[in-house]
Amino acid sequence: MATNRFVCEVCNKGFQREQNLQLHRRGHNLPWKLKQKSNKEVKRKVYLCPEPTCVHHDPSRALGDLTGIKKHYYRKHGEKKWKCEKCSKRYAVQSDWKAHSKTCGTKEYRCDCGTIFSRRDSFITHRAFCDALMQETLRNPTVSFTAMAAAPGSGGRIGLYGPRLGGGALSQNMDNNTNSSFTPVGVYNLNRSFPDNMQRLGVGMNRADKFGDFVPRTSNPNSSAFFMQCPSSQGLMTRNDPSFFNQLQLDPTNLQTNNNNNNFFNVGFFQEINAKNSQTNVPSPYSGSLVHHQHQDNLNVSSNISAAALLQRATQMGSTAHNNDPSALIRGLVSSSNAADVQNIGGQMENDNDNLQGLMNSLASDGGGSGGIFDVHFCDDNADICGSGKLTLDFLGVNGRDHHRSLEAGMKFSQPNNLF
Amino acid sequence: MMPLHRTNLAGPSPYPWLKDLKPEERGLYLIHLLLTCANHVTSGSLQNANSALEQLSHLSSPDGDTMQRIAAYFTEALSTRILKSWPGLYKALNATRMRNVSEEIYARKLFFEMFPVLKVSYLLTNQAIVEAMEGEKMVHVIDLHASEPAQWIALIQSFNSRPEGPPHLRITSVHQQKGVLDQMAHRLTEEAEKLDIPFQFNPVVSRLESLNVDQLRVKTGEALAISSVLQLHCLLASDDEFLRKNCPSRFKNPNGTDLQRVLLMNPNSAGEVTDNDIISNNGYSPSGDSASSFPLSSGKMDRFLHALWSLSPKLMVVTEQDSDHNGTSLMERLLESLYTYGALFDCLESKLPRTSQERIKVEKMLFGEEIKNIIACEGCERTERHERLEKWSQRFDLAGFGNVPLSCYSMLQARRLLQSYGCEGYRIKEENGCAAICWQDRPLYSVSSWRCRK
Repeated sequence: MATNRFVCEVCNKGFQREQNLQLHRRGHNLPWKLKQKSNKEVKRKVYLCPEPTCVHHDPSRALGDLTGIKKHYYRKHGEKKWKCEKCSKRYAVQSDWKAHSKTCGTKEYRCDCGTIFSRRDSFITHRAFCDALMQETLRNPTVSFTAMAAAPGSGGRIGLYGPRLGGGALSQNMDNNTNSSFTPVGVYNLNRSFPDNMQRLGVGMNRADKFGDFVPRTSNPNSSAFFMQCPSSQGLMTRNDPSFFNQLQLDPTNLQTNNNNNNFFNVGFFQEINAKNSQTNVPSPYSGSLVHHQHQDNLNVSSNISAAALLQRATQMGSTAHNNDPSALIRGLVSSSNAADVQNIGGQMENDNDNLQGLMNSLASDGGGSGGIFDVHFCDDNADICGSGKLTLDFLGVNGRDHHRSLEAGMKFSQPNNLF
Repeated sequence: MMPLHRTNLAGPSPYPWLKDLKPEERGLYLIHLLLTCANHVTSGSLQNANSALEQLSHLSSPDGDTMQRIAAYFTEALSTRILKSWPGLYKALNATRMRNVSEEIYARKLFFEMFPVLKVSYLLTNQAIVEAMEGEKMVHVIDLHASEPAQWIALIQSFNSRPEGPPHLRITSVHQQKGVLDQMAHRLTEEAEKLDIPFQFNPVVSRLESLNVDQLRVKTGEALAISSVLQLHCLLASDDEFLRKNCPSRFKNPNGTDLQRVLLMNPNSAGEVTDNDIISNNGYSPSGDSASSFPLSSGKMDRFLHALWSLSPKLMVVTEQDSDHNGTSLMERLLESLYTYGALFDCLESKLPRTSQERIKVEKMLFGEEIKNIIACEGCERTERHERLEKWSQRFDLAGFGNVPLSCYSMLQARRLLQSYGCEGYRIKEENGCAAICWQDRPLYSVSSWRCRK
């Protein structure tokens, strides 16, 4: 047996070749830089692939040995003459085929859902979100990230595959209420608080000081307000983690208002921001950016009605327009100057469909006359528009087929006095 | 009878009485004019449309109040639409126009800063990714439109602070401009090196429409997350004529004449589809409700979603506009977009003074262009095909994706973010596990996350 010269420093497993060792080390999540291969002696590369379209035809991409270039040629540019008996894979190089048929079907990972994997890592990845596994966890909603994190030995970078696949060890720590509103993707359980596990969480955790904000569970399982959440995924809002705000030049040291516990939710941060902003001009997280914001108290309000309010108003006017009353628009406009009316309408648009319907009604091409047909004339020489009453608008609610009325309506637009 | 005053470009306003209108009255009148004009455009009575446009031009203004600004952009859009019915004239006028790409990018950056939408979206996206990638060692994130490095910097930081340590992270970003990708690469690798986490950035220079998923180089064994922010809807742009001919049942219209009007509007189609085709293959669905109908989708979208599905992503987070701007008739689109952009312009009004140049830039270069696209363009040109969340959900469901509800924690964070933003009108609602960002109860954007269902 050949010596296993290359040994993994983490688990002491031996390998005959260095690249196999590297592949293995990847599984331990070692830092990227260590993965670089360091060549002790540089081999001269002189073999070129004869196929002109191939990348290795170029001298700068030459290969090192004859066997290698031959295998490359067959693999890339040859026909695949060798076929595996058990599966459908074909190979151009006999040694590849032999190597494959040795392992074909021998080592299989089978998921509960029935899918088969030959590689351990793809199997693991699949299991993480596989349906079958999810059914399993839904029945026993036990695993929570916080508890997993609290498990001894979690201080370093352990593979979480262990506890998760095991599952059982942690289940005793949880109470077994089913989690109704939750579909676990990464088995991520939120609606829990663990008053009895609090001290446990202090043990073995790198960042135990981040759990200052526990709130005992309330009776309402859906109140999301202050449940203890997974520490790792709160990265966005941690003290040391300015994230977006950093982009906008917010000084992170100002964020920490509470010195006792590193405030996970950074409630203090938000409170501080809100306090700062309630009366002042500039919302601080976004200052120093490209845009200078100003508080709009006195700026535009006096002369501005929101577009939303106007649209709502137009809808109402359209849907309530009376058929035989050409002055409906006028009255509508006059009454709009009543501030009280406008305030009542502004702001909340209750139901988009209603609004749309109202506005559409005011424009709909209706055969009858009940608030339906609309017709507007800007020039008196387009009287024939009346005839095609279906396709035109009459904001005033005047029946389009009625010539005189329409012309009157046209007149109204060109005679300013009547409008007010 | 008093004849209509003709416009004298050099002289005083021919509508002196319009000056005396109060803002509310003017606003209402503007809405009325817009609807009238659109109606005339649809029916082909261009003379009347022209008159409406004249009045609109006088009353609207890009630096007036909210309604004036909206009207200005809608007016421009409607006139562009009319102009397009003379394709030669339109092309000639636009031949020397140069697209200012850096201005567009700047406008997007302003949008990121002025509105909380993107920040909330990034927050929710990142949170969903971190949650889904719990325990994963190799994470590959695909960003379908590289826009803000801030998003991924935040993700890198989140991953860095998880207890089991950061995974080996790969981010693949797609964008048309190489410069944007280079900048993104630089910022992200800098951040990763600072935190000493294994990181790799792969740029893909491509338009989304012509993207081949092979270019994304997804490897087996890595956990894949896909993020799409306001991009997918352009894949819905398709040859409407083709669809109408071949899948007439997909066009549901309460009023059959709408289709006719659209046909009249588009002179190019005149020869291809006859009125008889439309009437006999009428799009009425007897049941009439959305549950039984297919969402209107193009082959492009289906194929793209299927390609994404075949990558077996662990998570796909989609942020999209949550408004129906993809109606088949102009009137439908006009009405819906009036509401939507009304809300968006209201947001700006409440945050920035009218003199702010940045505000005008966003209104013109971002919203104005979207409005122009929605109103003036048809077929493959019309890429701003925003649709409601339920349609997207149906589409994703059909493509083999299952919804992953956003976690309570994410929603909490998002709400906090909105609160800290300091603007009263924003709300975030949760429906069926998806988040809808609203302004005064009008939903504007939605964020939803999906997993690959096998």
